[in-house]
Amino acid sequence: MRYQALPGWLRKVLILTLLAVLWEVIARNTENSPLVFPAFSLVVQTFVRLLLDGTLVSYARVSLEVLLKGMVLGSLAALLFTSVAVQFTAGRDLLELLTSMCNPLPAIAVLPIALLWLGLGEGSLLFVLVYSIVWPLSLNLYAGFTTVPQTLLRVGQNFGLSRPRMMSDILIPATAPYILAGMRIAWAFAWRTLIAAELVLGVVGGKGGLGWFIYQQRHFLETASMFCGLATIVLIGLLVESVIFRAIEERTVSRWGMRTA
Amino acid sequence: MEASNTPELHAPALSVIHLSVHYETERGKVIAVEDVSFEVNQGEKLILLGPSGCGKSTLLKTIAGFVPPTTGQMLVNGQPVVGPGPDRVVVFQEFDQLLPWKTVLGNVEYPLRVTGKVPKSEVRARAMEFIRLVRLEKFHDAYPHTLSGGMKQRTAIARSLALEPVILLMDEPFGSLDAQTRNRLQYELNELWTRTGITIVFVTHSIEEAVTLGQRIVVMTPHPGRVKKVLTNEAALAPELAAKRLLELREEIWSLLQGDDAENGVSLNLPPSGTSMVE
Repeated sequence: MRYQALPGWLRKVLILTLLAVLWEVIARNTENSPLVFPAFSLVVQTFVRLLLDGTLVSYARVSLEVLLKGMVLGSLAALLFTSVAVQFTAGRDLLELLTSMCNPLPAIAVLPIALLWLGLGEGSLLFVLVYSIVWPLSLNLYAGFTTVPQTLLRVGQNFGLSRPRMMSDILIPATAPYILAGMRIAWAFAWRTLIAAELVLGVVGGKGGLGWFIYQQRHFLETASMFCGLATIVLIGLLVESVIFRAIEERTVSRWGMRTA
Repeated sequence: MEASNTPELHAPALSVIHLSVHYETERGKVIAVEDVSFEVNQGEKLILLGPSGCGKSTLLKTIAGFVPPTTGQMLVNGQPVVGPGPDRVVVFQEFDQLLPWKTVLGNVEYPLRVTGKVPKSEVRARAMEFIRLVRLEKFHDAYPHTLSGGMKQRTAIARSLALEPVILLMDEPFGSLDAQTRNRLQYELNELWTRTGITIVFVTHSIEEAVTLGQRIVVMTPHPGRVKKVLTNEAALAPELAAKRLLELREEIWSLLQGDDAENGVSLNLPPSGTSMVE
């Protein structure tokens, strides 16, 4: 059977297998100690052990809890910011100016300032997270709000909707494709930023996330565990992106036939 | 503001009194509607007809309450109204007037719920009743993007009728449909009107559509938007008169608009018979 004729998922599995074999062969045939370069099989063994004894789960939970708080706070901030930008010209100018200024600045770069202001704790992590998502999310929300068809707004007015109902029943669902696209970007930014911040910051209130886990394992020379930490980060990222977000998209904007932003 | 639904004795469903709409643009003041007055009786089908730019759509938006009048007044059932309200429901031309995230049933139910028009327990039955009226019962759980243009407009009509407005305002609702579907929906609208007795104000630039649907036709001319003449279409009430009267009406409207700088803005699907063409 020719390679091109195979289904896409099978081709990807084949490539992954090949890479794993290559890793295993290189690791076994070099002088490197497993402390520096563990074999693939050792990483898999360690991963299964860390998964079953709950280590990875508990570290991941710490990261995800902080992330969720940050996403909620950041979304609220973006929503507030965008409502102002939609209503006032000065607000729109401020949004455009701040986004273009803050875009080239990686969120992790504001961590030292956050540490200075909020101290060594969850507050600083949240500050960096909110900073990382508020700009891209606001831009998307703003684009969404300004492209709601006028007919829909008129329909809402015609039914005599109050301002809050207009917002919750017309504007927000009509903006759903933009909200979803914004949340996707926000998630991607926030996840990377959080791991980076955890690496720098370390233990938060006696508990640590995945970033901290990787950093800690380096001290114990548990190299295989470090790879397990990395793998967990990748897996969670893929899971959220291609399972959770895709499911939300299929149940909402795809089902409603709304063009995705 | 919603006017009372109980009509005062002999009050017209809608009175438009010396209504003018002016607005500012970068090029200066535009007089979209100038001193327009007319009345719409209970249960009447009234057409606002004219070429593009004659202010008929602005007039409808003003009646709906989306655009404030510069001067003049509107009475619904004899009572003054300001701003939009579910006593004057609009069916738009644009297909995106349906909420894409709600099914046909959801779209018809939604305004019934938020306006509190009927008790919650009766919303579903009422919505289904009106969906059946436009023959969409098989599609009640379909999302709008899966429907044809004609079905979308029928959903919008059902949604509006379910609210039992004092007046149904229709802003070129069949303007984006193909000719066949348009003809069918015109026929269906006449049927619906006969069955429900709803008062309709219908905006169009098609003379054909005007004479097919209207009992009275308000002919408007542009620059500034004014009422040229109000015609009565007896054919709408007596089908046996139809063929002859429709021809006469068509030609009278044609000549009314020719007299003006109408820029051929009025579409005439069937040309008037060549011999009697008025210059």
